[in-house]
Amino acid sequence: MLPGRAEVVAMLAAFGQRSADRVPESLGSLELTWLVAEFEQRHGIELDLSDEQFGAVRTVDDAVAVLREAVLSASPGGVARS
Amino acid sequence: MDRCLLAGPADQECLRFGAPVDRAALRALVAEQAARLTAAGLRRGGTAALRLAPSLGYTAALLACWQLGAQAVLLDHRLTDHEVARAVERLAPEVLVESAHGPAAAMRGFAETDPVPVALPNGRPAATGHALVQLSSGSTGPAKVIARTAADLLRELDCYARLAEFPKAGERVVLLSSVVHVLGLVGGLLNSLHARVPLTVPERMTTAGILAAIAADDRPTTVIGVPFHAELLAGASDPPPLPQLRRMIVAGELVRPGLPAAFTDRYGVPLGTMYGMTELGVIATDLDGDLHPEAVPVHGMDVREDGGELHIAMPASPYPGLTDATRWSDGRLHTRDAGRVDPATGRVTVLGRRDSQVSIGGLKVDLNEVEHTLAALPEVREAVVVFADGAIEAYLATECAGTDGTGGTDGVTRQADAVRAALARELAAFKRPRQLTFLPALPRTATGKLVRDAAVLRAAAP
Repeated sequence: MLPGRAEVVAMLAAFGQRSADRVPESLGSLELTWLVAEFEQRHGIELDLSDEQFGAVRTVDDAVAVLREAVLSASPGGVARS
Repeated sequence: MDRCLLAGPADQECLRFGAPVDRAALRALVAEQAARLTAAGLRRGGTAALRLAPSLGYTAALLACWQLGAQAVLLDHRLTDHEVARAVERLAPEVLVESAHGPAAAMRGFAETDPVPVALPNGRPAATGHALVQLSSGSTGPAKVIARTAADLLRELDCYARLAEFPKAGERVVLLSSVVHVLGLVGGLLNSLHARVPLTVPERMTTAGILAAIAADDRPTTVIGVPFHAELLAGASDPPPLPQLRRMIVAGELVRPGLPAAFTDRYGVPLGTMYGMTELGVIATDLDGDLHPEAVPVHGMDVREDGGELHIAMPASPYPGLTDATRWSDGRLHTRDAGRVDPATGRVTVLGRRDSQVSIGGLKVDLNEVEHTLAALPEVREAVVVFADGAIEAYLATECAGTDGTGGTDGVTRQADAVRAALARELAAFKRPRQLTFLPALPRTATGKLVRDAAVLRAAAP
């Protein structure tokens, strides 16, 4: 199942226990780290982003795109190297 | 150095960056790095700058510098080429050590490095007897230089040894903080070598990766990191039983109220805190988490409150070449931390910063440095940088934004891209604003001062 924007916002809201409407559209590096950790827990996938890929994620929509790509490229139980 | 850090049984495990390393192997790696540094011209009293990601190679190169009696300058590997060039110009190390390998991937806990020392043409030997030089984000653009002597590092290690709750021989540490900064370097790496507490750096700095590193060994385990790491672990949805976990200790920034309880609910062990600074290392601790927000000064630490600021006895200034009575005067370090000292118990409560320094995941960033860098860009007329909701936001007045506040979508997008590209050259990623907002003019108070209230600035955004 591909992650959608709502799921990504829900994962980000858990950082600092915020409500979904308090999640900013722009993401900082800590929020992105949190998101990757949450995503890995939920989907059982290791997300091996390069520094460049990590640095290119600026918004919630960027993050949704990267995570969807990771799910699509992951072999079951394997490591996603996007 | 050999006696304090490298001595011990040859087959005793001491470090684990992926694979376990025993003391004999570490001594061999240090000898190899010392030979390379010597070949590059480093001698006793010389200077070497290390620009290496956290790794076994970094550890060996640092210890080799000290074995040779040289001064080590630590440069965070995330600094840009521009920032490194400025640091090298200012500090003039004789040798620059970089790695032939690329930097670590984003979520990796450590890198594979192969340190390569290169002699620099204009390098100078050490002007002071300091063993360690670190840079901190500066308030006026250039980084602040902070130096420590070998004796002061040994004093800090003695403080750790006196803390009954800090890990001791027979136990182990899982380190989440960078070994390039004071908490991970002294509280993690050097203390582990000194106290003979094997140190593991997780391969992956995700929740699953950290939990796997804790679970990988039965010995009593202390996790050391910054509050963000405790947030990650407290948010774990279904952690495995971890009977070996004794406690987690965090430092580097204030802990969110509610986080210690959430962590203890999840793991049944305390979330301890420490207060410290690059200049002095650990200053006060609450390792059982039952004094929060207070902490007890470590052995020998004389902390006083002066006009709401914490001052600490320190015989010499930690800032070589800088005479600034607002930072150090008359044998006292002015921490610029707002705080209280309970006169009855001597316990310290840190309330926050009194200057423009903020902490992003434990990394110190001076907002003035970010603001000065932005304001110096040709595209930017004025800049205000604020810290809100745990991230840096920048509000910029540019020529392109125009008097009507639009300047055309394409024009604003082009300018945003140009500003981001310039920032990427000049500032390390952790110092860059999360958000750039372009305005025709920045909001000002009735007396003409720039407004620095995030709510007002956000409201002014188109």
